[in-house]
Amino acid sequence: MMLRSQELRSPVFPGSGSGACFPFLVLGLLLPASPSPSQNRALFSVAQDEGRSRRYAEAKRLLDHGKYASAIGLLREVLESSSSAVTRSPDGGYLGLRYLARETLARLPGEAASIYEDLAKGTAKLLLPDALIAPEGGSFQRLRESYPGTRAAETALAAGGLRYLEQGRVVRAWHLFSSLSSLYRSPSGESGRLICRRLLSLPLPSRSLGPDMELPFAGRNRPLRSVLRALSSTSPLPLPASGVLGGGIEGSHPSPAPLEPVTTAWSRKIPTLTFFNWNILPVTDGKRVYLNTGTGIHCLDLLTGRTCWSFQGPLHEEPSSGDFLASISPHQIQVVGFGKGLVVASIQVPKIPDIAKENTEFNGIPVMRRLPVRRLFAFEADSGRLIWSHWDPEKDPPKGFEDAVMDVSGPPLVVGDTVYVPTHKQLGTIAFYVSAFDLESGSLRWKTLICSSQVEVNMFGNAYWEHAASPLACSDGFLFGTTNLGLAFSLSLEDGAIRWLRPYEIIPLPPAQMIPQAREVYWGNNPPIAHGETVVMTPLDSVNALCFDRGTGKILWEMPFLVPDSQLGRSYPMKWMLGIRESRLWFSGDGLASLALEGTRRFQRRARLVSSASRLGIRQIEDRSRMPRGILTSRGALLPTATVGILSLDVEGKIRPGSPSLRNQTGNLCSSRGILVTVQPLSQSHRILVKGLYSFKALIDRARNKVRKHPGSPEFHLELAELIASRPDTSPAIEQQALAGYRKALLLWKRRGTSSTRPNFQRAILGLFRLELRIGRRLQRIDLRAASGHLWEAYEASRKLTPDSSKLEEILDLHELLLRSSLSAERKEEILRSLRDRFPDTIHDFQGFGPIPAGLYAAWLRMKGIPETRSAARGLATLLQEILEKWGGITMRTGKVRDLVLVRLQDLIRKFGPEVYAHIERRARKLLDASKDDPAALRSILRSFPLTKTAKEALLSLASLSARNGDFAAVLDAYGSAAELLSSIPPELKAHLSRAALAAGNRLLALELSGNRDSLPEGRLFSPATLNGIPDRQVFHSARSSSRDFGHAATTLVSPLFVRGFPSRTPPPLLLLRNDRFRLMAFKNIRSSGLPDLRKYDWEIDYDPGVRALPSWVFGEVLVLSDPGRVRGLSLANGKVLWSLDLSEGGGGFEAEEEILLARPLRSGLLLVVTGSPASKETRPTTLLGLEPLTGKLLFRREIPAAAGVGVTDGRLFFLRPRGDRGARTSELHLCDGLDARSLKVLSLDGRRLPRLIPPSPDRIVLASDGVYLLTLLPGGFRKPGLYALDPEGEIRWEIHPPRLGERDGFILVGKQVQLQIGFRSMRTARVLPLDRTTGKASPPVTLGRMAFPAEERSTWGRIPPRPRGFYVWTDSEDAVHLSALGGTEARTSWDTVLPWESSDLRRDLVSEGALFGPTFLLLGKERRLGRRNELDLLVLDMETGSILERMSRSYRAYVNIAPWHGYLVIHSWLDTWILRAANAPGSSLKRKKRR
Amino acid sequence: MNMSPLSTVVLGAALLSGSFFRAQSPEEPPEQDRRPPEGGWEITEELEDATRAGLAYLARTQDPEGFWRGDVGYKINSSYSPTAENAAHVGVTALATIAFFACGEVPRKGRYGKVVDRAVAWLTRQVEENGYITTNGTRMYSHAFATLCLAEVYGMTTSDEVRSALQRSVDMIIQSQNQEGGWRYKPFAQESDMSITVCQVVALRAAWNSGIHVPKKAIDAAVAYVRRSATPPGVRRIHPRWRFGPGGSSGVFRYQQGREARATFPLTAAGATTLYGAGIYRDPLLKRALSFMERTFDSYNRYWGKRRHYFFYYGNYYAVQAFFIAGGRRWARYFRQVRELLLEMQNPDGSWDCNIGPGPNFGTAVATLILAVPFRYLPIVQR
Repeated sequence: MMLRSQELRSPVFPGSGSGACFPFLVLGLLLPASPSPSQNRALFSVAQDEGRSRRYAEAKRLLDHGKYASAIGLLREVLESSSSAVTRSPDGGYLGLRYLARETLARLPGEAASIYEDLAKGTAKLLLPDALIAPEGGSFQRLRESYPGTRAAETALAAGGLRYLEQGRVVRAWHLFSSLSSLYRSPSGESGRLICRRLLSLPLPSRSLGPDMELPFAGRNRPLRSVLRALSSTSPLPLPASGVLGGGIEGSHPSPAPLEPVTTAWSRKIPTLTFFNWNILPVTDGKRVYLNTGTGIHCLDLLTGRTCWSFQGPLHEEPSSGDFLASISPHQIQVVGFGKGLVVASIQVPKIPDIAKENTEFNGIPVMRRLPVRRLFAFEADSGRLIWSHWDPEKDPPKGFEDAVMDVSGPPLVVGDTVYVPTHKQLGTIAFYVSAFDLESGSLRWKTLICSSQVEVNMFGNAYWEHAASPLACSDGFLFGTTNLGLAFSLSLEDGAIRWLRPYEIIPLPPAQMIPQAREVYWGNNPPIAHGETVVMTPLDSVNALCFDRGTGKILWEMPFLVPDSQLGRSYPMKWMLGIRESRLWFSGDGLASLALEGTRRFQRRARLVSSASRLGIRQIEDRSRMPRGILTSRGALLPTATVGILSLDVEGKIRPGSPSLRNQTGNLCSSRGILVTVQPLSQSHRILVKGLYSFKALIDRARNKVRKHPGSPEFHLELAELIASRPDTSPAIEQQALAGYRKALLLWKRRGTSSTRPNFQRAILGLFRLELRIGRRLQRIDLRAASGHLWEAYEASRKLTPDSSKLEEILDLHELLLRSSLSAERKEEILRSLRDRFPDTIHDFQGFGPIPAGLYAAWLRMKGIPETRSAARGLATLLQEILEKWGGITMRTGKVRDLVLVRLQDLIRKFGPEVYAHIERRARKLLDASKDDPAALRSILRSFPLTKTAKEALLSLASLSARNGDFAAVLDAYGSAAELLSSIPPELKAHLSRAALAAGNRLLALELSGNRDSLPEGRLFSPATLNGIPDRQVFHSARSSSRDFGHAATTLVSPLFVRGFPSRTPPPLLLLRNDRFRLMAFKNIRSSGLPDLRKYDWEIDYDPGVRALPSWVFGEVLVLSDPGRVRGLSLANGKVLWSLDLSEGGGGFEAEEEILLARPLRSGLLLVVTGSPASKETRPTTLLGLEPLTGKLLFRREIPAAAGVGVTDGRLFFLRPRGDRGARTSELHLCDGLDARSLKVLSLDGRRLPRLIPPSPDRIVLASDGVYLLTLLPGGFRKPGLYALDPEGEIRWEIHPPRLGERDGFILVGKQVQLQIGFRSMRTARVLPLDRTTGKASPPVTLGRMAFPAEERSTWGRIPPRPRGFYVWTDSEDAVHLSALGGTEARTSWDTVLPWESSDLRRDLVSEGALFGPTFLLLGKERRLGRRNELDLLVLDMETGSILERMSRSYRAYVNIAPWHGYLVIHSWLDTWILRAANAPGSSLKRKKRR
Repeated sequence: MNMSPLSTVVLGAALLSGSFFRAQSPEEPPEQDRRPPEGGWEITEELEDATRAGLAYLARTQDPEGFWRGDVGYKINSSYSPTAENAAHVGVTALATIAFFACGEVPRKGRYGKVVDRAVAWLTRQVEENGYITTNGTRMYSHAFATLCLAEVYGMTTSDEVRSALQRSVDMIIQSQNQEGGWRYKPFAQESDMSITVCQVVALRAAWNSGIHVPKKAIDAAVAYVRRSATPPGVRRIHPRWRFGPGGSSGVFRYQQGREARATFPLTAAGATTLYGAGIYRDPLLKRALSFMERTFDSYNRYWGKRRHYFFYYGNYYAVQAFFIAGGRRWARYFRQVRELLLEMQNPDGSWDCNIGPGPNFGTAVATLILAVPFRYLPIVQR
């Protein structure tokens, strides 16, 4: 690589005054510079692409010189610019480079145009075939984008539109056609007609577009003919007015005036998280009112105010939701956008932004404020069903959305099938974007970076408010908006390419003082209003309303927010830009003002004050953020005020004579169908008040008039019926009128032959259904027969309804109601059929059953209705079998369907003999014969016909098949099924499993199944990895390994115990470390590489063992890790999770509070997992699970209603269960089978024949090969405290009652002895009493000193150590510490050694749980604090003689773990890892050390 | 209260303006090349060992993704409050990468080629679409260090990807320069302060050196800002509340333009470095600044060095280049002292602690950089 030295570069920096010919400097001077910081210009950055700017300038120059080919080449390069790239325009603005190139290419002069056409034609020839075979119309669109303005592009657009039409995506097709209509070469009308001609004449590849086909278009289904007619019209298609501006802020044109008289028809109070928020604006689609509180959505019925649906956003779940309140922008407009039956809104989510995790301050000075984060959510307008959202609490941002999801900074605008929304990234600076998302999926269409800038910051530079952009406006293929960061913008709707950006004079931000100041804001956050060739905006950071040239962004005029009253000599501030009426722009604030849009050419304009607060007699509002937003109407304007209510003004600004009295009303307004809606926050409250203002009578009168004038119009009949049905003062007569209205409308449509799927038809049917249901319900208590009639009518109506999710609940409720009513049997049968056929799988909460499928409900009811007689038994069995097969896995309130059915079937067979079941048996047999050893078919027989003889055969076939295939897991499955389904396990199945287990490497299970249970010597079920020699040679030391490689995390050594009987093909010498970020890391094979490499782990996995760390185990090559919530089997080789039992999944029937209490290997080759609630195991059930450790397959599951404890000694399972009254303190000891956890023997520990255990605890119970040993410390019943030896049948073999048993005493079984430990773990002189295991005969006691404890494992009270001797540590009267070995068989194996430690050292414990044992030596360690560091002192002792062979010490920090690991000794502290190797063979080393 | 918050990451990289590298082999530079004839006293075996150990430590602590960790936070008086602890840190990563450059290590080649590559790739990925280089809330200091780092990389590799990222980050610096001619913690701020301004100027200078367009007026405005920040001649003592350690006499360049703003050792060093960086070598302000620094560096270093405070690293980060350019007796006296102090402060594992501040990765990166100045891979020296 060549390096550039500094000498090769320009030696002089521009500031030094020499070297002026430096080329970049020259270029820099030639090119327009960055915006100069001027007094009233905002600081922002935009994406200036200087390279492409130069290319564009060069292309223009070449065009002027007639070098067209080169110019076109350059322009096509510029066309590749990002949508954000801009260049400075001479008048101080910025123009989008991509847009400029596109425009220039589309308007090339004659000769250039033909060169360009030829070029495009050539490429199109290559590209079109590919586009034609592509399934999506987007390929055409890309072709068109490559050659804008050419005929090839036109062809591509038309073809793309057709392709979309074929797919039924009419709105997308319309987008393309409308782009086509705006192409320069084809006048828009011509292109529209061209498309239609092509549509009608072109043979389409599919016949999906028949002339009778209906397509969703402009909000509803329309026949293809009318779609074509609309497409051929020269005017742009009408967009729903409510969806255009600001996501639903109406106002660019007057709203319909409310029908007078206006009175409060309904009012609702809705809770909000925000406080006194005046920016919640209502929008309506003519049927419903939508409200976005900023943290949730509420949809109310426009006529009644009834809540149709609501959505409580995720912030409501956040406990610290209040943290955001102070930093919510008071200018953030909160409305929804809607289109195509969907509602889209930005809702605050509980995301913690990177910039500020919490509100912090220093001496009262705010340092950081947690900013609100808003994301888009889309709902089905009818039902409120969430369709998509850009929020996932589990992962934010959701995968795949990283580029799409940004924080929303304004309301969404829905146009066609796209949602446009202002967004930003707050990363210390605001990177402001406009993003476009697919309406139906929420996926990103495009995003364009507009600019970056800053809002108010504190003196630490941290943002003080969230950023609020203006709502967007769309007009003629372009989006308009203002960033409120000193820049207005216009973008191409299609791809987001910037058309222009325009800076304007701003109100400067206040300096960042200790307590930040908010910038003074005068205007409301109005959406832009486009009119003719202009667009008007009211940026929040400007004192002026600004009018921009639509095409270039040039500012044409400005108008200050203050409007003077020349007569009074005062000025009145305006805030809201209400819209356009008769070519005048209307504003409201402290009065009403208007401005002529055409005429004057002056730059500085003044609005005409139409009416002022003084003239209207209203008090001016001090806090302008609380000034509500009114509306323009066809009669004038409705002006809400804080003091005198809503004023209805005419165009002259006078209060309209005879206008409705709305003195007590105020709030933000919207108006639709003659109804006025107001929304106002309630003072001092987290609620908003929503009102619907209208007169029922006036509405009904108007509707009646319409019906009278147009009696044949079903629409007017429907409108009238709906109005009548929604009347609050309902009566039977009124209801009958409404019913008649609905019926009339339906009749008229039927006569017309209108399809019942048409929206209005469905609306009428739904109205009829709901009204009949309502009447039926009401009459149920008065007149059952009449009620049934209405309910039946409702049922008839429901059959014509398209059952979507919004209506299903009601329809199923009706079915349930009808089944409980006094209907005839035939009709009830029909209802049952309807449930079975129409809603077989629809889940509904049926009374008494819980949420179950409707089909099951119907079948169950039918089953209940069948009498239990011999003649009906066969049919009943058939129905039960059907239920079992279809819904066996479902749980009803009364229990599992499968269990209930099986009990019933067994009853039937018992009562009427096997012949009632014979036909089912035959079916099973037939299936078995046809199964041909297909495992899936065999499993299906097992599942569906568990009571047949065939099932047993299927099971054996399955097991035999799996064993033949070497599929251990499948054999286990078969065994598990047998255990669940059959009363006993067939011996053949056991044999199959035994063979498979042996082959798979589970020797213990194989032995257990073959009946050879005690093949493993006592105490030898498992062991830690052994240490084959004296650890005397350090082979590795890694200092600070943990901090270096795993962050600052503290690490601990994980040393699993190895279970015997599981051979391993490959040795697993991995070093396992866990850090405090709960990652378990496995390191390289020490043997193969000589030394471990602690810089890089081989694999890692999350592992949080919890407070009660459960030991980990190794079964062959499977490492079993247990933590409180799950048990996992991992491959030791690569850390891959082979199986997992996860309590949090709940699928296994685990309760939420359950934890894993115990996980231990059994002698049966299974892993016992005990789950339950640790706090209340005596009252809540405990579950015993038996897992095969290599596969994770569950072999048994047993639930104990209440257990005092579950114990496993030497791989033998038992549990204690309190019995009867807890005060009686008696218990049952269950000795369990290791294969299925069945209780083989139950011993009653009641103090009569056998002693009581007080308290009942498994701690001092040992199950051994020769029986049960239990030690009681307190008298209970008739039994004295002492050690009891029971035979396997529970009979006492012998018992001994030594005096002065202490509460910390215990016993161990060593060889043929029981060593009873008396006076242990206390300051008393301790004794060990050796007892013969067979007879109980005591040998002379061995006296130790004080503070005695077993060296091997200090915390247990009864156990079987793996060695035939007991090792004890104790302190003598001279304060010397001893280690004694007491032989289990011969006294000569006993010895006593004085350790070179002080007794005070022992209080800090041996470093590990106990001593570590090699084949011939043991190793003891203690730790001692030395100043800031600790010291570990290790002793290696000869196990035969007790002599000290080696003494070593290590200095370490924090804490230490020590473990043997396949011939090595690993000592690990927080920051250090030492590995010592025993280089010498055990025998020789001992000799050598002894000599020393 | 007139508290002025200062930094997330320590300031500093002014010494790194321009190309760091001389035209010589990037791989394993020969020992004798490291010792210029006139500067033989500067490079001792201990110094070489220390920088080697520092680099080894940094190589060990680099995250596999390429970044270095540090506490992201802000200064309050003389303490440091983290907002993201032990997090991926743009500034620390940039400084650590520059430390490798300063010792002659380059991308793609040599012992630490992969380390540097990973770091550069990570830094490039952190460049937002608007040009701001940030992660976990790091601020304009980090942005400037990262820009500087990318500029150096671009000078060496001419990678298009780096160029695109560099151009955007430079544009962000230029477009967020405020009316005063300076910069503050976050882009587009209305106010400025000296320490952040220096970082940006140095980054711009490095970008310019590597062939990126930088408008002259942006530099002019920044230099004018530095000049305006100078204290009037004759002021001997500043407000007692701004002592920040020993030697309360007033420095030459103030934190912000205001009578009460402090003018400390590091700020004075930063101001001097800016002037040198802008090609101004003879100026009465420089003379005053060097005199002040010479008077105070010993007590400043002992006070803050003992505390392993990031003030120590940040002050010397500027001071080392100012003295180096000044050369002569001043340089010799200063560098001998700071070299001994740094060698004394180094841990056995090669790191330097930074107990108050972003953490040991930061301390190690800056200390290694300071010690590496005499290697003269940093061609800032234009005596």
